[in-house]
Amino acid sequence: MGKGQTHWDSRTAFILAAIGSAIGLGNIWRFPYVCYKYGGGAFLIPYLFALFTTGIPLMILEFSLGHKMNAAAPTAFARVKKKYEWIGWFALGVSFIITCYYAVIMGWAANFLKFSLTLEWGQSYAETKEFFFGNFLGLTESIAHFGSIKGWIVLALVFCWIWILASVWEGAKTVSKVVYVTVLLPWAILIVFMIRGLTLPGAFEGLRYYLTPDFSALLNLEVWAAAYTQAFFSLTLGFGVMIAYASFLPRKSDLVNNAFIICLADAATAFVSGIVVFSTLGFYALQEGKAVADVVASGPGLAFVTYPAIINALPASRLFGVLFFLMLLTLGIDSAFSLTEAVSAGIMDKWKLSRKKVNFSIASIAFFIGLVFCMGSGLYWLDIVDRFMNNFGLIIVALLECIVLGYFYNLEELRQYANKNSEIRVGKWWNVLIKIVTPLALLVLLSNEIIDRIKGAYENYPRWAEFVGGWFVLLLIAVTALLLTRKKEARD
Amino acid sequence: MPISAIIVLVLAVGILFGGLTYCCSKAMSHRDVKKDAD
Repeated sequence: MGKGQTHWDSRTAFILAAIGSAIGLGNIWRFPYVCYKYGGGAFLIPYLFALFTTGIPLMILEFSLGHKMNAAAPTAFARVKKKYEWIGWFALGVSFIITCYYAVIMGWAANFLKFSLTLEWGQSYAETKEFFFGNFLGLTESIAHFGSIKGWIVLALVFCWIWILASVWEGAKTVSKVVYVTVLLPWAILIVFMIRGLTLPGAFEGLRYYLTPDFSALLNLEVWAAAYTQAFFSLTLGFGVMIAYASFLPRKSDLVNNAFIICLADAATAFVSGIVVFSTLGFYALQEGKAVADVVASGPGLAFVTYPAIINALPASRLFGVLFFLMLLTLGIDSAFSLTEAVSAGIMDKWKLSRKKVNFSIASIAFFIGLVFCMGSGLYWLDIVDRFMNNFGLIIVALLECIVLGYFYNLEELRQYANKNSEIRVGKWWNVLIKIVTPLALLVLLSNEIIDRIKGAYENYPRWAEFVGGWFVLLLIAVTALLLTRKKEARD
Repeated sequence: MPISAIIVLVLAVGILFGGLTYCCSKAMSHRDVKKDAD
């Protein structure tokens, strides 16, 4: 570990921090919709299969690498072989870019927390839609029209960065304390919403849409691809976060059981979120006299348009508004500070710089890049960058992890290392998953994405915009990763 | 809700929360053993 790196206060703190990093906005606004869209309850079969054949094995791999090498991603890969160090920097580059816009989304949630005190977003669905896209974001008619920077979003962005910096002020030592609030509070709110949701009229009609299995969907390859995508993206894998977090563990630590606990907790939270989302959607559909299928939404549209409209219809709507956006904020903050911590640990490991200086530099640069997403066209750019960072950046990192550690390193030694202090031991099947099954699944996802991008630009954005926000950013990260690898490290 | 949806609900809760309980109990018992050894 680098100068000034700290350890977790306890095993519980580590597990909560890793769970907090894994559980993010996607658990609330992506999983329920994906499950509903791809076969309802039947989707859980490919999802659990993907979780056990890709998610958990990759989590064990990242934990073992970080813990064995006792370093964040770049130094951990450099200790495998110097020429692989760039993979670690590439992972951190992707993390850094994601943090830039993730903090902006948190800024939206902070603003909506304030709006919920007065239900400023209007009454009907049409009003909440106009409020979010028009009044609040000032969304321009196309990506070519940049629009102006929205002051209230910038102000909230400053607030979020101060919060992130405070959370990682002394690294794992501070995070160990913060996670007791930022992980347990959103869980508590989720339970409150689940109880409220299930006691609303129409709730079970909503659940019918969410859970009724359509087994014919299992024959559709697209459903399996969606399951692997969901299982992989939901766990903060390929970011270098889990490698850094594992390096903060004491030497005699369990790695395998921790990985199982974290992955299952993430999946359980996503499943419960589905109950919350669909029970309230069922209620809302009943209120509006529509079918549930007509009110289903995902992504920011669910959180900032549909949910405000649902909250309006609830008794004690202001209270539920505050609770909902507080839940989004606290869900987002763990993911945001884990990404920041991973980047900062990588830099500290190599150049032995002071934590405060590194963190402040990361926050400042990320803040200025984040201003792009605070403009009128910010949502379009966010959409493109997010797609490329996830569907190319993260998949490439995870694929390289599997290939390098599976074929150019002694994977069996890594398996024995993971088993050394673990309560659950992984058998040789893990080697097969890392060497064959996981890379194969990732390769299929990557090939699908490449074919889609050749066929047409993402979401019909202009090609130039796709190039600037997608390919160019990826290229920039790759070049920076190579330059950082060449840069000499500090001597002790 | 149809019976198939209820079965999915029970199975999902059983696998996810059952698995989680099993792993957490393993972690707790391991801590006890370590304490005893100390």
